[in-house]
Amino acid sequence: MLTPRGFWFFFVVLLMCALGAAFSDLIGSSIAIIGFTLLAWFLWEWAQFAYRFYFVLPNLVLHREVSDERKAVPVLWAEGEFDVSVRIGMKSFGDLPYVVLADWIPTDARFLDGSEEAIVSLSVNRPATIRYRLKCPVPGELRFEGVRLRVGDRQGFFYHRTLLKDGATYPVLPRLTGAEGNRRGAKRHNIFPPPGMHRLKRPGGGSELLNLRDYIPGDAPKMIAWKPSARKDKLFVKEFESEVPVRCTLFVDASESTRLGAKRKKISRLVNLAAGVAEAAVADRDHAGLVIFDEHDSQIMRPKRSRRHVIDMLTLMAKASARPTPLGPFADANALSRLAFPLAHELYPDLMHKRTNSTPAGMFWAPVSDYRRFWLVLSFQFLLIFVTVNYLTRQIAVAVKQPDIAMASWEISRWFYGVFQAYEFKIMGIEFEILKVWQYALGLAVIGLAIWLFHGWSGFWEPWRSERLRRKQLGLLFATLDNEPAGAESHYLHDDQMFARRAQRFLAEHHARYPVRLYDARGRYLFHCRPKIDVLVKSLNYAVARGRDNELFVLMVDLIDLADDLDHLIRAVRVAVARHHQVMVILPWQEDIPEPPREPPDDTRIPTEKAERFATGGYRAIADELKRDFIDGYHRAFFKVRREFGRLGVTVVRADHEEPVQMVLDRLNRLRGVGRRR
Amino acid sequence: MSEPSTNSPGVFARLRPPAALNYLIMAGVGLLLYAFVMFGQGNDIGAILAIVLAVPGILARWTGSPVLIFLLTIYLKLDPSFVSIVGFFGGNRRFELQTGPGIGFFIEDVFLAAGLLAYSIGHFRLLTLIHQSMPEDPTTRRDIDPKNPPRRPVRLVGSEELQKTLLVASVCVIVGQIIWWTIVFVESMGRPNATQFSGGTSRLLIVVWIGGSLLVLLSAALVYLRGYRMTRTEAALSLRDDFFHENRRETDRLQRWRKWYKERVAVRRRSGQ
Repeated sequence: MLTPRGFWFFFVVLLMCALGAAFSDLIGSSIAIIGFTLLAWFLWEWAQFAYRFYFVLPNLVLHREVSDERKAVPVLWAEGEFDVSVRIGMKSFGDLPYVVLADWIPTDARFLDGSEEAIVSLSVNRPATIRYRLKCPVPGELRFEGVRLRVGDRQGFFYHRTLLKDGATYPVLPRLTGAEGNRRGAKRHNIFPPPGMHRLKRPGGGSELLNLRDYIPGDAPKMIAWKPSARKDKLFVKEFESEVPVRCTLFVDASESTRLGAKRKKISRLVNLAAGVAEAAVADRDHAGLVIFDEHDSQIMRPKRSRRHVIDMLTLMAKASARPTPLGPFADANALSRLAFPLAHELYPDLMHKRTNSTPAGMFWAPVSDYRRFWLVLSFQFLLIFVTVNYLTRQIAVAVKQPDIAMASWEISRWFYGVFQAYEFKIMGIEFEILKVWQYALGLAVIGLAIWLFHGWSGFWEPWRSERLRRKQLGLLFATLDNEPAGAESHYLHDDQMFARRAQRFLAEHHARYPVRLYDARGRYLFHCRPKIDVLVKSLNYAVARGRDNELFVLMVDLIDLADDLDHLIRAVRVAVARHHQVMVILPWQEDIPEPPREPPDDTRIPTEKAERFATGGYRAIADELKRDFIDGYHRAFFKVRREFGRLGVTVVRADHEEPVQMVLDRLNRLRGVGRRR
Repeated sequence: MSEPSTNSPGVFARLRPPAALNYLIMAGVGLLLYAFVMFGQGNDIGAILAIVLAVPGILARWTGSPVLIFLLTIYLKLDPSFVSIVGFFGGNRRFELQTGPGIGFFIEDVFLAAGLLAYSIGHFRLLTLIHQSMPEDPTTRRDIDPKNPPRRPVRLVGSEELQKTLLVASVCVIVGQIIWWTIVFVESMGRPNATQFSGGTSRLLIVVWIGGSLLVLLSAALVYLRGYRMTRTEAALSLRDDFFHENRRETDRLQRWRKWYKERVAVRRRSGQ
């Protein structure tokens, strides 16, 4: 609360009061009067600030409004620009003459215009408003944590920082591409029926002639084809094609592997793509369905074509995209504590303040008894303990008249005489003779004591001190927020994995980025989630079982890491194809991997070449080679997936982040056209 | 996030608005009053030195200059015009404190206190307008711009602020006088006849005693107020913190055993037992 400026002013004023009073006999009252005058002013300012701190600050209220060009909106759209307006006012009484307000811009949003900061003076009749414009680049969720408040006085003596919590979340739906509208204007393939209708080679109520058949009593007279009937002298009836919508089900992978990455996650690209496809399909009056699945479960929306259904689908996609970055099985507790600690200080300044969440000095003492090195310290004390015990035993044995024990003890002492010689010295004319064993014993004991002291003091050194401080404060915060039983904070202090998981969860809840370990010590990919294939297969079988004719299943799945585990999926796809459904696979491509060559790579390099390269290039060559191997492996996996599905006649395409949705839609439509001709 | 402005106007440009100018005049008047009183008391060099410290303190935005002037004032009262210290280094080798007028009401003391108070208020309020008003936010995600620390905008200075400030300052001068005369009164009334303390020492003891008592009462009031205004979560965390302090060693020991057992189980699992 007191700034350095205020502290020094207060200190010197107190000094003036004390010195003025002490020397008042000598120099008069002037210094004392000056001191008390300044002190009176300081205390007045302090009292004002304390009043505002305790009574006015809790009265602050916040109202947020996010609006587009027309009005306030409850949901946002990816790639859309929005105006944020935050109004901070007071419920009842008081004023704050000097406040710095800064709105916490969500991590996933991009600031465009305006200012998220305002320096204002607040009172009941004079609320403050912050206005700025931001853009939501990716679908998911925007979380507005609140407004940071910094309150000061007019002199700069007092200062308080806090957060006016908001916690408002706005779903960011995938952008609407308008791809359907574009296609109408620029139709490149003349294989489509009139917009909105897809013919099916079955008799129905459409307008296109399908076939002629013999008249059956009961057929409507208007269905009779009179000309062929006259020509053949037999009644024929016209059959028309049925006009049914194509049903398209989108399977979107929301597993952990798609949620890795900093900004442009695979899930965001898949969701954008799925949204574009769904929008275009529904605009064509087709039915679009959605299956969001991960390694545990799936959420299914049966194909429909209403506008409401599209919004529901987009909401579900936004929720999937807003899922946090996975935690992973292993995590570095200290690295996470370094990320979580400043965030916790920003979010919970009152709960992280040392006044509430204290850090006593004794907490940093690292007693050697807590470690296995305790025996090292104890071994240094051994000689002293032994000699002392031996001496005391002898004295007690003499006192209780046990000569055998006393003699045995004496023999031990004599042995010590032989090993450690005695030496004599004089103090004030009196001669003393001391066994050197005592000297050695005491010397060793002092060394042991020094080790104990050194070990204990090491807890105050960096980085151990900071690590312990962070773990304690965060542990206490987590345990309080989770309403855990008393003593739970000690788990966070001692159990690295437990702390790491909670810290990751804390960071994920507040949309903060954190590092995730991708590979274990043996170089195995940690997000190789085989179970998601089973969930996908189950969902696909479900969709096929309830499917009607000529459905389209678009599998948007990250399969590159599972190229060797596709058997189940292949079988399920084969069933779908056998039932005359269409299947298409879209793979999200990893951003830092270059495009694959046209043909599968032919690995003709021999290990000796690599060895030579390592010998000449050193670590850089090894790193380059590892990267190259990784890229080659990625490409090979892609080709393998394409080959496996290609055998079933299923198209596999890459959903590169630069590739427009329109291109994918064209491919889908072409595929639909091919299926129809067949 | 919005970028911090890179163009910062110079100090003279910042002194130009009326709000800043008011406080500049206030500080200047206070300093002049201080200087006149000091001149009158024969502290010419000290008064000039105080001005030399104060003017660059404002122009160079030096927050420590009032504190130095206070310390200088204390010294000048003990050794007016540096006579003793000059004599000490000139070969006299005796440092003699000058005796003052003694305890009594002197209008110069009131002017001196008023001058220094006006200078302090003017200086610190001016600094918040032209230099820095609060510490930098250490947790902000924006880079700190050392050329543009947080300042109190002049538009926030209300029209009635100066009047209120002058009123408060006048009251503070009176209160300062009253406090001091109360201490003197209490000391003279309550002082035993046979005492080994001098008047100054017993006044110091009264100041310390009253200050300590007030501090105890104030701390108690603040603790109560803090507890009263605490949120539910803060209270829970506070209790948990107390629990942590009381059981820290024990829970540490339990956790060590727990860790040992987990390691043992892991070893057994690895060995297939």
